[in-house]
Amino acid sequence: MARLFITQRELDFFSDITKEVIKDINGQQIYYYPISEEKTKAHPVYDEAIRKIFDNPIIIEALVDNSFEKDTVINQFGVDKDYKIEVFVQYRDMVERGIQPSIGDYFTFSDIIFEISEVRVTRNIYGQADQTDGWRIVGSAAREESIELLLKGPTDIGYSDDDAVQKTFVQQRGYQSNELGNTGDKRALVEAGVLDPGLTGPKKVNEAADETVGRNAFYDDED
Amino acid sequence: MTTRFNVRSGGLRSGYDNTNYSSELSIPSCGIEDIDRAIFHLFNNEIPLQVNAKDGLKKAKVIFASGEKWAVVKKKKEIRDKQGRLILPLITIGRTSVSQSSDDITGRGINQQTGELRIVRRLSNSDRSYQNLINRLLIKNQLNVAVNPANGIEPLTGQLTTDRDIGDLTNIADIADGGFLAPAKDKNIWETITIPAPQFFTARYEVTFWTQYIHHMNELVELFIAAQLPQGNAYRIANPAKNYWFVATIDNNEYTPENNFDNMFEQERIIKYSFTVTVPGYILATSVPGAPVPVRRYVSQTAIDFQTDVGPIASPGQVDEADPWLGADDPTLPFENDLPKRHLGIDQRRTGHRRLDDRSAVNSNDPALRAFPRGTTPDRYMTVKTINPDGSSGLRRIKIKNVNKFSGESTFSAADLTLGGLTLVVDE
Repeated sequence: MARLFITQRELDFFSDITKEVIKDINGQQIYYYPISEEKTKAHPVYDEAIRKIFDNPIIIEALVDNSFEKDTVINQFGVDKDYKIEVFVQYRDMVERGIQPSIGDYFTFSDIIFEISEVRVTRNIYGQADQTDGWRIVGSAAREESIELLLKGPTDIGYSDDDAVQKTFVQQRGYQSNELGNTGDKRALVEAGVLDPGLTGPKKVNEAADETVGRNAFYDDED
Repeated sequence: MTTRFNVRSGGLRSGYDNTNYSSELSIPSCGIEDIDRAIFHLFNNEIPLQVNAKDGLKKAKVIFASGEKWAVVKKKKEIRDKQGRLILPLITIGRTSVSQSSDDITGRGINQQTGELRIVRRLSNSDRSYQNLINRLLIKNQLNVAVNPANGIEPLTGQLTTDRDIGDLTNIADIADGGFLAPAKDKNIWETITIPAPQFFTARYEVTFWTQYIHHMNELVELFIAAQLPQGNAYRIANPAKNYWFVATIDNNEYTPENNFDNMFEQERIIKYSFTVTVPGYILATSVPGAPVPVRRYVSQTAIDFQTDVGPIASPGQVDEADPWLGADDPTLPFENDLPKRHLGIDQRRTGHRRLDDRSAVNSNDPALRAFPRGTTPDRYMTVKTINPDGSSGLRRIKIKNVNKFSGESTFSAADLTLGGLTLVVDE
């Protein structure tokens, strides 16, 4: 659409709405593990490394495709399950946080480790060359022997770890930090002064302190 | 299951027969990876493949297909531009096959059928002690060198003594006159180090040159052909870390274009030339996980001493009997001697050997023996009368492994450990 109608304010609005949906409503996230090419010693001819060294993992808020078990193959070797997952991240959020997903890196979602096999630009916003909407990251399940990672929750209700089930969800709402830690979040319209920061601050969904309530506390439920 | 690692000699030596391996020696191994490194080194370093680009000479990057995704994307950044597309010129190498044909097995001179390679023969560490014991130079006044009091030499306090004959080298005139360094290596303990004979195979690689311009491709191909050895179509390649070398040849000496000139509407114009490189290689002293230690050692024997013990054989007994346990095991059948004469030919206990030639192949009436493989010689036994430790006499049957009629030598089975009272002592 013509730049006459899609100005920077509209673009900021799109960005803020997208972030609100992903970070403040949806709440899905992946743990991204980039491989350090400086610390990992690769074979000089074969370009492979049995032991990989990772940089610090990064939490990336994203929209994750629900159906991530792609195929079940039954052959002469038994049952083989193939997991593929599609993750949509906002491009602007990645630029602001200085994250560049790369093919070959790893990420985790639930209790599965995925290797990034594709990073594709979804589209430009209304055809504007400098405005990319997002990235579609495709991951394939990695073999456990090729990588050893300590999985971070939420993973699965079948596990007994403390973080296996997510009990607390805290919004970000453009605040640089919340009670879970630094978020690095920023909302363009707030920064530009077009909108005021959220009056009530980030909201939280957690287990109710009052046992008689019997459900998660939110909105007007008392803690 | 029998493999080269656990087959025991009786036929071809495998090179791993000797269970005495050397843990202090190691030989650099040579295998498939060495050929890969050698091929990569040839294109990446040995031959300066470069082109005249618009801003000067540009070296053609070499990649060995295919690395892990992260390594190809992150470590090999210099082969891709900002958009992730390959920067040309580029040389890709991919191994297409590893094979072992009959030419590899029999056409290289030596092969795994020849057993083992002797790589060094040297004096053993224990030879010094042995030389001190036999004291060939008749050194008299050294505590760690043995003397024989029977020769009239009074040993010093604490000096080694022996009842061997010593000083044999003093009978040689040159040595007696002072030539102590004259070669005399006939009474030494030698250590022989061997490795299994190599296994030969052939590796093939698909090499592709990628360029954007035809004149760039001309420069690369021309230089590559010009770099061949004088005999033509050959490159001597080596893994620089180990110096194992190989000879690489181009199949048919042919370079095949794979251009996309007929489909340039949708694709970018790329010039590609590919060829197949064949490298006869070898696996030598492999050190991959699971393989036994390849370096084996033999130590020569200096003396073998046979001794006898108590309980000699009372009588030699009948030699070269047929196996008394061959034949039917039906206890109700009569023994041959108990049968009337007219039934001798149908006695099922007969092994079928002819009277004049007891070593003929089995031709038995016994149904069980008819299944005996044709032409095989059944085991032979010798009956001996022995004296048991408690003084009583008894009969023993000892299996005969081999009889040499000309020398009168019989070899008995090692399974019978006491051999009727004989013991073997091997002395170094």
